[in-house]
Amino acid sequence: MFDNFASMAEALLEGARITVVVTLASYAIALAIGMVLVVMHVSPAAPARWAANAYTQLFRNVPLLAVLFIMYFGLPSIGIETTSWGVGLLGLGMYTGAFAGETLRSGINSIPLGQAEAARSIGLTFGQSLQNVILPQAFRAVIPPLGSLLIALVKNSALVYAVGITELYSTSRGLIDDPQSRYDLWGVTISVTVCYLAIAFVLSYLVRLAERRAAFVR
Amino acid sequence: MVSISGVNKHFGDLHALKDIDLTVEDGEVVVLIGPSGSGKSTLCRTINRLETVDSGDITVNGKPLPAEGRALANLRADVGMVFQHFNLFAHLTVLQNITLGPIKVRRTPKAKAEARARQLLERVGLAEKADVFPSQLSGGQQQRVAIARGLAMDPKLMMFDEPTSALDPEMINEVLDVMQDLAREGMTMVVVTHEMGFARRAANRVVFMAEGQIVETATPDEFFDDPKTARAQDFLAKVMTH
Repeated sequence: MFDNFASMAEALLEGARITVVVTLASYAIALAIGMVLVVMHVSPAAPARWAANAYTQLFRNVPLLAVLFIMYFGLPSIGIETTSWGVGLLGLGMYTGAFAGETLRSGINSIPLGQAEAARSIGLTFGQSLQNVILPQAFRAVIPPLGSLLIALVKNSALVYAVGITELYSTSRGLIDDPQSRYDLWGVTISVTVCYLAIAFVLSYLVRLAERRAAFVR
Repeated sequence: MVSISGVNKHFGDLHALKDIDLTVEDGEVVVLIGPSGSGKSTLCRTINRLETVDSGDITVNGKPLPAEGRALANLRADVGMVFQHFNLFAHLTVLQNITLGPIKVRRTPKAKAEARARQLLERVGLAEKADVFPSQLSGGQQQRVAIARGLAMDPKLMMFDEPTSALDPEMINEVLDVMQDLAREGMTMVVVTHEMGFARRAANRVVFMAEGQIVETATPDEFFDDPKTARAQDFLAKVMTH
């Protein structure tokens, strides 16, 4: 079943490396977008709130594959050159960012109003109280769901094969479709599953560590 | 220090503040008392614009309250506020709670802010608690930290919104003692409270509110010994029987 194991493992490990890079890079983009969205969501300026809401509705309600295709094929037609990596990372990041924003927002909503009132009462501006009082607490409160988002992203990252990034999943497809049929279908499938499990497992563990480090005594 | 004139405020159909006029002089301790829902907390919160008003004028230190923004933040920095539920920053240690304002708002160097914070903790009797988190303190201790946090900004005015209402009875006095010391040192204070003993001892003036109106304003002795209005007499009869 695991014919030509060495060359299969080599290919899958390279694919796994790409999957990890895609996941972490697009997660960083997603968190940055989520942070901007949540600040807009709680902003006193109504247009900022509307814009954040529109963004969230758009990216949360369109299938990820469609987001990737629209960016990959649509942007060049209006004169914006695209690359596989550019669309892959941005598409994943923008899609996941909508979820990250909502997750952070639920974190902010879980912080008692008195915290914001106390922050304003010592003279912090809106931005300062977000930065020093509200967001640090909100962020800690939502580390577990943000972790789930990361795990989901590991698996969603498989979709960037559609725009031509050879990550773990597309590597496994390549092995199965090997012109010389050197690899067994089940051997590859089981191996690629183990790879995804291993990546997700390690990331879950890191999330758990982060959760423990960020915990403050309540 | 504070001048409030013709202030009205509604919460939906509820007319929470009705034509309020009130001035607080420098160094004066004004205690707001009255039944629950009389508007005294709301009035207190309008002074640093945690509540906006529908009409009327409020000036603090001669300046009208600005709209939300940096000018308002600057004004709030000069007005200390102590809440019923303490509202200490849950993710920060006691020391960090006290130094956050001085460091971020006043741009005080960290070492200096911490030295001052430790002095203030000493003053409220909590010197050894600098490095614990708020949740590790009793309610009375948390409230004393909250007072220290307010004082760290060197406020021109300290406001207390029912500072002992969420405390167990045996912790009330430790907070009232700190407040009374402050009053004696000449701090300008606006205090919303149900502690009649404190009002009598510490207040220069008692303001009695009911149904959103100021019903009676008097010195503590006048008010407690000889209330003029039927509403105040009725209130005092209810709260002073025990």
